[in-house]
Amino acid sequence: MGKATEQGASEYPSCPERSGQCAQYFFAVLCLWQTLALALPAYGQPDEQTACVPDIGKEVITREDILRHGFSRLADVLALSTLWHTAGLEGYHWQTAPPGFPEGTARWNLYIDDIPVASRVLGRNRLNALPVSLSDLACIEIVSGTDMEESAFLHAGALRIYTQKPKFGLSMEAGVAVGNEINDPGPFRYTLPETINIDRIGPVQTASMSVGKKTWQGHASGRLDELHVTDAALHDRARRLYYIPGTQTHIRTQALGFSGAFGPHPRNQRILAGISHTGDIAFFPETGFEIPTTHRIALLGAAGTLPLRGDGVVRYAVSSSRDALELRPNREDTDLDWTQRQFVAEADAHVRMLRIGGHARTLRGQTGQTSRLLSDANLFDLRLFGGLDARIGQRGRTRLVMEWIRREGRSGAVAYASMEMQPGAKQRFRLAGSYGAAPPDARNLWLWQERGYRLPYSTFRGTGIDEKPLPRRATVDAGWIRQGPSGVSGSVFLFYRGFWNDILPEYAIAWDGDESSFNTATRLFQGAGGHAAGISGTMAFRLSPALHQRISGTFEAVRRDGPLWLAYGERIPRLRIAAITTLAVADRFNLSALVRYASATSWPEYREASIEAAEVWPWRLPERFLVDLTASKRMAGDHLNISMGLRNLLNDPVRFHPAGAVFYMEFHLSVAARFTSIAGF
Amino acid sequence: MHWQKASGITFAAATPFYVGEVETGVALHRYSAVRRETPSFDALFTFAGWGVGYTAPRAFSWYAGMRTGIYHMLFEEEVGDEEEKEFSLALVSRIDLHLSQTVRLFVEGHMMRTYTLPRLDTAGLTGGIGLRFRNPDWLRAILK
Repeated sequence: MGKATEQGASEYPSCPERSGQCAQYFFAVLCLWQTLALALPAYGQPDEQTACVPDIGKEVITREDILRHGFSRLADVLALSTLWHTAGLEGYHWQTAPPGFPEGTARWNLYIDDIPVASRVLGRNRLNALPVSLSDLACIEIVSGTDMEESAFLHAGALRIYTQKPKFGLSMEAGVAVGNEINDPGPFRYTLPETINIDRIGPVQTASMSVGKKTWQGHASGRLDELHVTDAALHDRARRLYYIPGTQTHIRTQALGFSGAFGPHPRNQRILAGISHTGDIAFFPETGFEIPTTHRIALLGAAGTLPLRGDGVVRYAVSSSRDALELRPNREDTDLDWTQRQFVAEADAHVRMLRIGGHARTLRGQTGQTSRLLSDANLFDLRLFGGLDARIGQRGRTRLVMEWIRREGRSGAVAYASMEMQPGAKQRFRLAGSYGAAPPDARNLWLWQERGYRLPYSTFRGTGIDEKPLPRRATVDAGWIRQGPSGVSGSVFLFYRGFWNDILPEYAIAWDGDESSFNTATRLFQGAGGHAAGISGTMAFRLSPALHQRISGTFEAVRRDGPLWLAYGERIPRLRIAAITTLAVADRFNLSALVRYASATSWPEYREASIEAAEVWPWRLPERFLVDLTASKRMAGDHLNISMGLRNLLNDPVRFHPAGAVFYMEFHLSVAARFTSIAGF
Repeated sequence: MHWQKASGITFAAATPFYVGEVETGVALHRYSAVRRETPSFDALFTFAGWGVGYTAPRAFSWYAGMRTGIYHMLFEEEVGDEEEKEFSLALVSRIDLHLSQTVRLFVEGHMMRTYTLPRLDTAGLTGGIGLRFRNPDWLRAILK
């Protein structure tokens, strides 16, 4: 690992010697690569501990950030990212996508402690339903660029969640987070007699216990999380089916999780297990209203590294999960009736400069007691890759990888290349790209509908996509980062994404005033293409030892090859800015301000419905400017953490989705207590 | 005006906190309806606050601060619609007369906004007695 071999470049024939005049450009590039790869064979460092360290195109939200801003739910943390854009309806299930990927096109991946976990079920983000609590985390990495560091190559982005390593001894932690959104009718019932009177946020209750020893650690946690629908219009729509006597419309998650690790650091072997039960209300654009459903998750996984002879290393990860969407009591006994089983195995090996590996995933869908209603209940996804790592002098490295993809009986291939230069101890430059054609990744609703799954109230019926041309994609990332223990740190990230022959759903949405919900006609559009590009920058600095500031922003533009693509591009706030100011008032007492700006968006598919509903659901969402203030205090020798904050301090009514709720100023309070004992250890 | 604020009671505990002092407490307020169409209600204000004080010569001191918390309204109404909780902010000003190192009398005025729609703005005057004592060690350990 990282061991340089002394070989001079002169031992190898130069490019011109081998190729004559090197007139052809592609051959020159090939020669350059060969020269770099063979002449300086010092190898990459697969075991580098890069987790929780910001990088080019990688944002990191640390546990300290989470505590400082008083977040209590996993998906809420995405608010701190400007690269990924988010949209949500009820404030619980935030749909998100990496930059350059309009929502619906990105199949971003999710990892917990490097264990691959299904990120979506029927196209819906399930972050908050996972059996992991925000209080368990060490950090969340939001990876936007081509990710070539980990065991699977990804060009659509990834969320990597790392749980906290238990401290030596026995630790117990418990916390509760509650809140309140303003603008209840209160005693003025005569003004808005129809307004619902539940507006509490949470509570989110967590409890955990950890045992840490030198060679193994274990952590068990539980969470009880509630969200009440406070928006009157959304409440009415959800009430079309929701009916649980004595309760307001709400989402409720109960989760139990366990994680463990053993082995000498950093080659820990890690395991993850968990179950969760969510009483949910699932909105699909295809149905136009919320369907009450019970979402059960069972998850088991493992990941780790194993040494090979010499300085090689093998990384592996396996996981198995089951997601069941079952009946939740409702007026019409509507049942999503869907079970998804996923098994994933990933492995890669580094032996000197060679890197090989693979990724296999089986996804089995089941509706009812049998899968015979589906034309093909199994999706098998196999990716095999091989490549070379090499150093460029003492300050650079390069990597070239070819990946073969077998999916749904068809084959595709993607090529990845990256080059990184480190001119100084604090700075790095990177250029990376990928290009390839592969069958569509079928982890979404409409491609299951193609196979025969019948979503209740949806009129969409698939027609088969077997013989359609393969979608092609190209990505280019370029960036610079400067980091240091003190002073100014910053990064710039430029990205381009090109799409050809992509598959997107096209919606025609109308308003049904009798049912207070939308009516949607859906069809799949094959052959969609487009180009997206953008620039993102981050700068962090201290104006004084007690005042830390971080400003980040992303500008993203979408150039279309068709009106459908343009419609997707308009849903994204083109300019997104976040500024965080933290004032350490005194030891262990912080004041934090989070200021966010997002430019206006348009959702053309909701235009007709918006007009018919008299703008109750506006199809154009204005720019939003949100200010959050939080005070956090650690007490009792760090055993107690209290944070209190106001979100949307300016009380500017904000909506994140044309069919979603309006949010006003919110008051949040969270208290967490932690006890550690080393007695008996 | 929709309500007449009737009698109430407040209990608060305060401790020095960096600059100024921090306090936490509860206050019970009673409201009698003036109009027939609005209900009478009791309200429990659970709050945390911060403020700064200025000690005038001799026995007087003046304190100004703010409180924030949840206003829990309990209506004298039909079952199922009998309570509501809402976020509140209050500005507080207090004059203390120190009778001894331990005991003081105070008069406190507050203006409070509860963020219902429409807003519920109230004002009140409170008189009472305050006791000052050294924090027990366990409390000092927690606050550090």
